[in-house]
Amino acid sequence: MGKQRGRETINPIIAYVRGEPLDSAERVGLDRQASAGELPTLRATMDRVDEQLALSTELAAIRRSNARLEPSPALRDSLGQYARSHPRGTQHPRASRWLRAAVLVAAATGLAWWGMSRVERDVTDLPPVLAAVDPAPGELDGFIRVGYAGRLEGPRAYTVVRARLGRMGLVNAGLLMPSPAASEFVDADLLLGIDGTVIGVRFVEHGPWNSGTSAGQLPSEDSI
Amino acid sequence: MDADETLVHKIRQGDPQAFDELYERHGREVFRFAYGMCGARVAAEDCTQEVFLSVWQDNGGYRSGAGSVRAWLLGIARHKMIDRFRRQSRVQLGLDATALADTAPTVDQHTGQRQRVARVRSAILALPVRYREVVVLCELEEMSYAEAAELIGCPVGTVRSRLHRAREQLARKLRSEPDRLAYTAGKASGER
Repeated sequence: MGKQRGRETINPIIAYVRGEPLDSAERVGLDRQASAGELPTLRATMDRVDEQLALSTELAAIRRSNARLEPSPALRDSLGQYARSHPRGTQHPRASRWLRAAVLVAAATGLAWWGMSRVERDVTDLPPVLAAVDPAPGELDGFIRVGYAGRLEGPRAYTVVRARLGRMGLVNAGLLMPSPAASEFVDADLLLGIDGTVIGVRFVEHGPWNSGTSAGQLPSEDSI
Repeated sequence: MDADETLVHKIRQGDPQAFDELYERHGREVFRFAYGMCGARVAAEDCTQEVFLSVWQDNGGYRSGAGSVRAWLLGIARHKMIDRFRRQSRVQLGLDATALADTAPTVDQHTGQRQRVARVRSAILALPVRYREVVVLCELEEMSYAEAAELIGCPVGTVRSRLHRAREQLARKLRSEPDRLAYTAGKASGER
């Protein structure tokens, strides 16, 4: 139907129903169908063909009507102005696509790095640890050996970590406290062995329960 | 390389005159296609503008030798229209006021031809998008089945069968409402 546009086609069924001249062979076949009571079917077919022909005529009318359709001149002007006021980059568009991909990868990497740094910061921000300092000669003075630790040997074999400890933690380490209040905290230097175990404690502030021990100085902000 | 491809190449280099010329050559056709799909002049102009802006901003989609520039532009317009229909979630059926002004009969222009055109336009707009686009491309824009198939991205046989079904639906619709617009117009004038 669509392909037959503009071509003169005479459907034999239509021609038969309309009583137009037909080839004898075609007429014999159609006579047979008509005598078998199929003429209403033929008429329906003819009506459908007529409808389609009428539709083709109407579509042709729309085509002719569309031929006059035009976008407004303002659209042409605005597009031209846009093209002049927004010069186009001369790089190959595929390159810009690669650039976009690279930016995305960089952004993803940055996000991942930021996430990792957050994790690290969270770890280093854990409240008990105030500072870690290398022990210098003489710095082991004042440490109290915890119950399970052996003899303190040379200063270079240890690490000193300043921490805030719960009193109950000190009791567990073998340091007997008078009337310990579990919720109280105390600042102390911890002497760590090379395997990371605490072998000595030095309180940095005097309190009612640690008299007799020497106290170190809190490190200044600059030294941390 | 044909003239259109040369223009696209120049546009890629940032030549605004080539852009103007491409619009002169194909702007009307893109507009007509969009108008056929949505039946609204304003929406069709918006679509045409979007098509040419995307050509100016990034014409990397065109591959030389992969098809005509005309089919490429209409393909962009088709995608824009489908996006628009999706955004609206429901296709706006019927003709808008501007479209009716183009085609509907007025007191002075009360001709049967105009009524028929408006009626068929309205019936086309009521078709599902997949049928409407083949009617607009093959019947109104007189594109070959092969070109339409390439543009839509389906086999030629699919275009053929969709067009057949679309025509069947159009005929059925026109049969069921033979003179809706004429009736409406008559009623309106009778009320005056």
